[in-house]
Amino acid sequence: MSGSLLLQRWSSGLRDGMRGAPVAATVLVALFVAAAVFAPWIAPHNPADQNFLASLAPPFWAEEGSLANLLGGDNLGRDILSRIIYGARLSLIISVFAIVLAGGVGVLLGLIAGYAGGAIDALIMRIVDAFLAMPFILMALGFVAALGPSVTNIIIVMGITNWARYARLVRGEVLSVKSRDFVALARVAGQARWRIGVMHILPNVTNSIIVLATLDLGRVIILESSLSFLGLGVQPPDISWGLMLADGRAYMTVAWWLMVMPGLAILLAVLSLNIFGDWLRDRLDPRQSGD
Amino acid sequence: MSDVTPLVSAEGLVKHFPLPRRPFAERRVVHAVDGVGFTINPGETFGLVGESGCGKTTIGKLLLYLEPLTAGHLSVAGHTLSALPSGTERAFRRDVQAVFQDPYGALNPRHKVLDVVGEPLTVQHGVRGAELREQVQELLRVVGLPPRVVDQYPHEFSGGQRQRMAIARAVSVRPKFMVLDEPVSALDVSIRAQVLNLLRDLQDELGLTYLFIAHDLAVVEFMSDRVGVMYLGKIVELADAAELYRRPLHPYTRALLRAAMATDLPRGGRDTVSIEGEVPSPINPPSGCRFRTRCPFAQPRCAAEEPKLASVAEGHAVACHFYGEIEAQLGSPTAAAGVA
Amino acid sequence: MADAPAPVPAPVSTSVLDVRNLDVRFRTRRGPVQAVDGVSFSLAPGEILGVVGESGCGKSTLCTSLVRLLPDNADVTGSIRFRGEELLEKTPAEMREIRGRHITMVLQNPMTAMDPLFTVGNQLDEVLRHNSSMTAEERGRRAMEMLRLVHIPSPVERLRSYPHQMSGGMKQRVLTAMATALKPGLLLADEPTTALDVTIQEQILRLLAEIRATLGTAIILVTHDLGIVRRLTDRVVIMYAGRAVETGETEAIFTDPKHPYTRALLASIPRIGQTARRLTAIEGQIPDLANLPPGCAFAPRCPSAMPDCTNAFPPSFDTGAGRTARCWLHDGRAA
Repeated sequence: MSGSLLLQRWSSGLRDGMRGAPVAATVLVALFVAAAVFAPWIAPHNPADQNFLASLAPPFWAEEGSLANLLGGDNLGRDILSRIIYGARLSLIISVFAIVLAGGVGVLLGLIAGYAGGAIDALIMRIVDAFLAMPFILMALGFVAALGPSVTNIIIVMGITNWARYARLVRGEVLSVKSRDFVALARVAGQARWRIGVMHILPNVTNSIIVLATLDLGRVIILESSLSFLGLGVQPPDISWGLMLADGRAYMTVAWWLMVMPGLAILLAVLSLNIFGDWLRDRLDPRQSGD
Repeated sequence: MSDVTPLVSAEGLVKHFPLPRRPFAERRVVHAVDGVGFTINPGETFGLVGESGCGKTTIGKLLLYLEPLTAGHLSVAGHTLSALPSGTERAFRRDVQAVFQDPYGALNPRHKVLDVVGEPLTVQHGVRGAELREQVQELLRVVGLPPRVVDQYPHEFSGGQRQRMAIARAVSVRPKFMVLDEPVSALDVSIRAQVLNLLRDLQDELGLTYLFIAHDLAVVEFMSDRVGVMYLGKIVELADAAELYRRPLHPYTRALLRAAMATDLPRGGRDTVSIEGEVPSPINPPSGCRFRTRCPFAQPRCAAEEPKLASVAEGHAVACHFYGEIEAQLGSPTAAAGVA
Repeated sequence: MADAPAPVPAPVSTSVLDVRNLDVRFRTRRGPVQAVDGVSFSLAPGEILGVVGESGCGKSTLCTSLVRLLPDNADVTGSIRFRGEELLEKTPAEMREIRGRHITMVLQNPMTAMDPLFTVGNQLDEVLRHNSSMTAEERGRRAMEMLRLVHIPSPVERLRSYPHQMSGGMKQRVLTAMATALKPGLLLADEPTTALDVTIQEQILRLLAEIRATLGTAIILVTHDLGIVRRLTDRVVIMYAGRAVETGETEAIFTDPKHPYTRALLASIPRIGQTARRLTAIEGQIPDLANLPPGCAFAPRCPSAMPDCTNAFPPSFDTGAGRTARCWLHDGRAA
């Protein structure tokens, strides 16, 4: 097939798939991802550049603000907009990897529990219950205290505290898919048990996983921001929105934009991800069930 | 009766499903199938009829080796299911296939028609790629669907079309025996005849043997050579199809027959037997004859002594203490209606 | 449309329900879909009318339109006169008044029709309380009376039980009791026995016949099962692709069907005592309402199709003794 035909088919498929998508949310999510990916080309300044003259400069629309620092400058004169753009990068990397880790472990264990049933199911679910009961902050504190804060460790901590939700969701879905006729018929065809799990059950569970992961992105971003805010997460000179919040606390009364801007970034990112995730759930759902 | 080796031989089949254990209470079970026996000869269609909870679907699952037997002896297409050696399951599955009731749940919505219909061929004979495509297209043609649908998804088709795909899939590996569990109950009335005709034609062409499970006696009569009527885990009457309709002996059979003839009888026809009440729970079936709680002819003996399925004529067996008296009183419902 | 050979008869003043040229059209993303097209029929007091058809024929839409419970994207035109009053002109408040008291419904799935959190007695009481001005004592008595009427054993205990403690058949009886507690003039039963076992189905059908006999309620029974229709109904409307293709007395239609669809349908059902090896199937698929073929919707599958059949959908022709059929074969004007 020629390149242009392929592109045409692809774009009409995409248009069809995105039918009814919430416009603002989708645009924001796309911006978020774009900011993270293209940070070095988009950011107006180097986020680490300190400029004494721009110290505590207000956003451009205020008196004394300038177009050089659209969202203002922090106490060291670093451009807040650029720092927010670079912060998106780390937030995205950490949350995506955390979800991949949590999802990978959780989905696998959930599949095994749901498909095998019996004692294995009971055992895995008890472990899941235990993990779900653990308080995130305490675990993070303990972990970081023991192994020191680093991006890798943050990802690991969030993986550990999040996998259980995937396991429980997947196990439930597997139980429901397992009882459907086409699974029994796959057995009647002579298909091996483990292959049925991979070829028949897993594909019918992926939609729920995608929805959970999308909604989880928002949650994980907030978790990471909280950790960084407490000093347990991303460490300087790396940039995180949570860290910016912490830095800006001292200047709250004199330069509100140091805290409000990163706070708004977190709010908008999470909100748009949630709205997008809700739409995605509705979009994927009716086509799945039955017809 | 010719001396043919039956393709399916079932004796004293028992299937109990355990219920979760309640503390300090006795273990309870669901008596899904409680001592069922029958044989099916090659090329024959054996119809199993009954309402919910009678165990007919469970029998289908037992014959498909989807559920293990609690007790009894079962042999299907030369394989002894009560003691299937490991490693022979796949060979067994080449010989026995199935079509289920729900055309919407029977096909994996994430797979294309090519993969859905072709799965048994791939699993059993390793057929893939272009060869698989060719064979699947041929199968689709046989069941009356255009070959180009191989690249589409099941959800784009109607119930009747999906059921044809399910049938194509089932016959793809040339099985000897097929379990058909309510294959047309979920389809529209005008489509049912098409699918029943298809099943008939395939049986003639491929020499298939069927177990046909349904709750509608008229459909069962059309398809079957011999019929077993089930109630609460037991067979209450067993006969050749024509004989069963000419001479139904068990009160339950009469009731089912009356309902099936509704389309033929003018309104206000004589109600031969009216059944009250609900089906009792299979966890605690009634003592003696399980049907006695709803039977208008029940006597004390029915509670005390369980009637055995006994032969009353050539190829006709019934489990009822008073079939003779009932027959004398009511005669033949089909004769009265001038139908048979 | 060209002059209809059978003029739509004037509404009978004593009928419970008079439906004239009822059209229901849905505005969907794929364009307008005509779910019900030009349906007319009358229902006398205490009469049982069957509305029969397969999936997508419009029978359930017809039923729902009678109580005006269609979704917002539905446009209803025509006339629905209940006891002489035009329902399509009623305000929502007036319709609420009528529903539940004068026109009631029993639906297909008894498992989901009742609230699992309230006892049966509670729900029965709510129906009475909401739709009448009886005192608590009167309601209690009426509830017991209704449960007895529908042959529920040990009614006192039943009033205190929850829906999940009852079987499907028993729930359907209770739902029938709830629907007839206030002696409505019209009961709409949409596939009331489809989810039930055959022997239980028989009981419910007998119950409906009794209700008609003792309360004088007219019943519209929507179903796909021709056996039930013959068993229970006085007259029947056969639907295909949203149209009423044949109407008339039930016995007459079963013994001498006039429309090719009715004939083909009856011929394709397996019958007891029939010995043919193959059934006479109707070829083809049920048409998609969004994509109807030109002319008569049944033409592509009709064994008696004529060249003219693809030109226009036939209007309703008089086929004698209160019977109609929408088929060009019965065009009385043709030489």
